Amino acid sequence: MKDSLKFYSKLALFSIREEQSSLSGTLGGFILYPCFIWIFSKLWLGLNHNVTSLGVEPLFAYIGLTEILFMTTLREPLIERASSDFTLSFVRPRSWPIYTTISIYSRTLSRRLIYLFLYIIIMPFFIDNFSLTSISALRFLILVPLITILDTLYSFILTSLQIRFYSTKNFRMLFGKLFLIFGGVLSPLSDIPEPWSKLFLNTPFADLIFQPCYFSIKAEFYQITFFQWFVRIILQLTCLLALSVWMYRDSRNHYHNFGG
Amino acid sequence: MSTYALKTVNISKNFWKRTYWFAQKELIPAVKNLNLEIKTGESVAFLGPNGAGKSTTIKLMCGILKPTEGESWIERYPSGTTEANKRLGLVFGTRSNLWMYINVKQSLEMIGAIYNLSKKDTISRIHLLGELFEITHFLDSPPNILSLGERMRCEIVAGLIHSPSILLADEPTIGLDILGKAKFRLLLRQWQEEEKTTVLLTSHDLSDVEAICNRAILINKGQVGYDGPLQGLKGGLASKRNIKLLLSKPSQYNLGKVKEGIQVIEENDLIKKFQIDIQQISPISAIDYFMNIFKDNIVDISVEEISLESIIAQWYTGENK
Repeated sequence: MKDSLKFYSKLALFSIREEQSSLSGTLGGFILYPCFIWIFSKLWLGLNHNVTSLGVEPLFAYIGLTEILFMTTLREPLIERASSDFTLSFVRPRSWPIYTTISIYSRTLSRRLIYLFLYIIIMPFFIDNFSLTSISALRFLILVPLITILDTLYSFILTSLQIRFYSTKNFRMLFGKLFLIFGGVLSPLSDIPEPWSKLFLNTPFADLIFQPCYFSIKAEFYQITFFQWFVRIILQLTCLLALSVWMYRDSRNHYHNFGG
Repeated sequence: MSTYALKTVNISKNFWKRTYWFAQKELIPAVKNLNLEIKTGESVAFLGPNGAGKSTTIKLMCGILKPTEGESWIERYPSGTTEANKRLGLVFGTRSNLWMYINVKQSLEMIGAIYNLSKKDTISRIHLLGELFEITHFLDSPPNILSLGERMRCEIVAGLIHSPSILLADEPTIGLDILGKAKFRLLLRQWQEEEKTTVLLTSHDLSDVEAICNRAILINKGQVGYDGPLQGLKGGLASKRNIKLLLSKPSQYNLGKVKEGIQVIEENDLIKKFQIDIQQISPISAIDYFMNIFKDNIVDISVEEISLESIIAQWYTGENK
């Protein structure tokens, strides 16, 4: 048990190092992140600035936070790496599900924390209220380890699907769009008119992206209490865990890897 | 200590396959009732055409795939168990054990940790294997900046870091140039002889097989077609030699009347190919005979053993059964 804990801690640190090891990937993200905030903030100002209930400055902070989550969710390199480790894992004395989950979690969380650091640095160029930036970052920091667990499980399920069906590009695209629309990346769900707002707010994606970002800015969840959000997250976590176990077993049983 | 490294008893694997979404599932028997025993320290080549079931066989033996029927063991442990896995080392020509952007030393340390080696043991193994496989000078470089030959030597060190008793090498020289292949084979052979590691090799490059292995298992349509010494594959063809003559002008000689022990296998105006049986006629006598027939008309003569490639090709096509 002690040895396993030691190994998985080492794996987590190694995964963080692996995440930062590709210079082009890391630099690309660092350049793209502020670019996306700039583009979306300009777009919003040009099209919708009168209709947001958040206010212009909080809206920019919201864009910054949702982009952190969206840019680090269901990333292809993580899924590809995990699925390519699948064959190797059967001849190694370690559990692939635990190995994969820890690796994806560490990589995703570390990337999110780096973007959050970048958020604190670049937000003063977009908004004058520094306390909004710092406090929203702090609140986000409290929630992000928990929501990254759920995000990791989504990646794990997609990895199992990749092993089962060889390619999951279409699944990934579908999930990406679901996060984009129902998660509130495209527009804060608080600004969407009824009855769509109610529908969108009741999807699991809203609890993963919109609600944590809204909480980080407003210090409260939108139309629900912290307890309600937490129960929904735990419920989602339970369902994802069950689905992950089932998907892994199904992939393991159907795995044949024709042609070497 | 068990006398065998790997053993399978009546192992079979069936796959269900359907060609399109609504089609009825079709049962494909990939491996049928395989009984194999590989002794400790043996170097065994698994040969067979694409789709023959050789990869499936190895994966069943190692526990990567679950058999439909039968059982397999690694030493005395059932395949797929943690204890069995600790005894296996892997080198894949098409799949990397290493992390592309992390330097080789750190990757090897991580692989050591996966196998529960202490840091001290891992470092001493890296030093030992690094010297042996000549990778010491690029241990601090990431694999993505190394040549394929250098990377493959790092891969084999990664496969051997935990001192496995069995090394599974799947197409390990794929993509390497002639020098890279020769070096890889030499180093692996040296290691195998020193450490008495059991080596299971799959390769379509028969030079790898001849350099590394002493036993061949030929698999076709999920069944063992041949299991024995590599040289035994040649069977009656071991005593045959091919003689090729290149002539300066077309010859009118009737080749239907050649001497006993010489067989015509191909002829056109300027090129004549014969097969001789050295138990009936020596190559020198055969050449002497051709010199008498064609005299000054001969430009070039070559004598060749029957290649393993052509023999295995005959097995694949069923001509040798």
